[in-house]
Amino acid sequence: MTMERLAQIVNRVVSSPRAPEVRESSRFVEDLGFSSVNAIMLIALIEQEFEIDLEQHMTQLMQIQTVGGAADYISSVAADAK
Amino acid sequence: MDFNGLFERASGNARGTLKVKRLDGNMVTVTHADVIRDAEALAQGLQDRGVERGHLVGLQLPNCYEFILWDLAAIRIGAVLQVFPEEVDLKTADPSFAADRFALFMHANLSFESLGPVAPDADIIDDRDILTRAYSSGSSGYLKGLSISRRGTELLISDFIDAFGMSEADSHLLFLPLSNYQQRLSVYACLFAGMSLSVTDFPQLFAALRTDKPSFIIGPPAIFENVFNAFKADPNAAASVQRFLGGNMRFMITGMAPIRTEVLEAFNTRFAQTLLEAYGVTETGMIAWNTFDARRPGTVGKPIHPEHVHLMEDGEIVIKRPSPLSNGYFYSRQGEGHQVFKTDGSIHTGDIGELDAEGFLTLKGRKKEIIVTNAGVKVHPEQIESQLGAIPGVLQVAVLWSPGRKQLAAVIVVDGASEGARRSVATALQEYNERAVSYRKIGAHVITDAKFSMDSGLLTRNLKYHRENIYRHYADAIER
Repeated sequence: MTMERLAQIVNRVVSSPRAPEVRESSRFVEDLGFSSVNAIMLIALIEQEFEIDLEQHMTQLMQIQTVGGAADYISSVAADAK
Repeated sequence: MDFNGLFERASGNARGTLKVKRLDGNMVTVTHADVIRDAEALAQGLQDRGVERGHLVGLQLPNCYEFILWDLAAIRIGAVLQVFPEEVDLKTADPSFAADRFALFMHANLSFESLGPVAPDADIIDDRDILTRAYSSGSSGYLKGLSISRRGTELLISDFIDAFGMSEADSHLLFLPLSNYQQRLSVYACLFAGMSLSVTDFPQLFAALRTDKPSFIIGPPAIFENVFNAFKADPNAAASVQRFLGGNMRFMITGMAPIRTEVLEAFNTRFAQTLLEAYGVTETGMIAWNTFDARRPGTVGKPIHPEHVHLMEDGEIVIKRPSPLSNGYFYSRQGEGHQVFKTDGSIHTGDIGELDAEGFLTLKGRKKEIIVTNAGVKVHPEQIESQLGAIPGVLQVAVLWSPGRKQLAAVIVVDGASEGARRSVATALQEYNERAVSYRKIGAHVITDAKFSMDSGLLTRNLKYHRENIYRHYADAIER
């Protein structure tokens, strides 16, 4: 569930019109060509869509390399917030 | 704006606040009067330690309240603050660096209390117009040290306040390093005009937009390109973008690199925002900008002072103004100073421009990037790059001269170099070649999925193409 929603958000951030398919194993930088602006935009959109506050989690989030890894992390933050 | 009046004026600002982290990480929100009081106290403390007018004082700090206080305190005393970018090694920034030339040197691991007395043989700078020293990574990607003019700064801030009708109803969010002089100009402008200011770090930019609700921001195109991508398919784009930007945005200025016209137009029409392109170089300050009253997408607007802007025969933009932002380099690679700062007081930007009938300026490319074909035709690789860059799937493209083939060549970076991706890019390139005039045709091309990066040496520190290195890297493939 989280993964599907996240993949949609990642697609909004990836700039190329012919972006590669977003999978759990997709690496942000190597596979999706993420820049630093892409990364902070992704976090901003996640906060908006999942209605969570990630300010305290920036350092950890910036170290996550794959979309699947981010999905797991967001699930746990969202669960803690409940 | 004038620095003599800045302190008194800012002390009397009724509404203006400053929100920024302290060096210890704690966020503070203070009034402009608090800022001035704290800066005056620091100035007194520095003078008690022996800092005098003209003394060179070093500073290397992240964005924080202390940075702003040191800056203002130095101005108060008439000392010259030399600000180093946070991420660089001091010797790398400036091989002539010597600690004992600075009366004091403040960095993040120090506190004011731990600073010793003033260095006995510290440099004294006599020129009263030199406000501060800053580093700028020019188009070459190497750091250059600039002496900044007090008068030049004052004039630029006045121009900005006038052109955009800035008042204490405005508020600003600053998210680039304060070591970049443009950001410090914004701090002075806010204090002078009574505008509230929030200072953050780049990773917090989008969160800060929501919480601090600025009425104007200044940023590189990448920021706006990302907002465009995120909301271009949104059926309620105008409302969504407005909310994303905090809901209080009056206008945004972009510059430093070209922005796609598609992005600019989406902001100004579908997103119902005001995004204006501007052009300036640190050596002389802002040169042209689009304003509410005079704007044309695809141009960098009208020159702020048309009488200061001269186009040479080859189209190079040369600025001659009474008080440029910089008085010259105090550090640069050999010969660079003479290429830019001429003895007649003019400043050669190295940018090629064109003025249309109504006086709007369009940037065509960099003078040193111009390729002269064997037939003597001048080609701006940037223009062809922006055309080829629009091909779906293309992430980066560098257009180069192939001396072997005596033709243009292109190195095209695609998103995932599958056989299908390569084929469709090659087909699009062929279509481009069929339409292009002979001297703009691409004779040889390389398609790769290896992005140009700083690590590989194919991008400069400014993230611009290092065409020389790109050619060298792909020479075999281009020339075979």
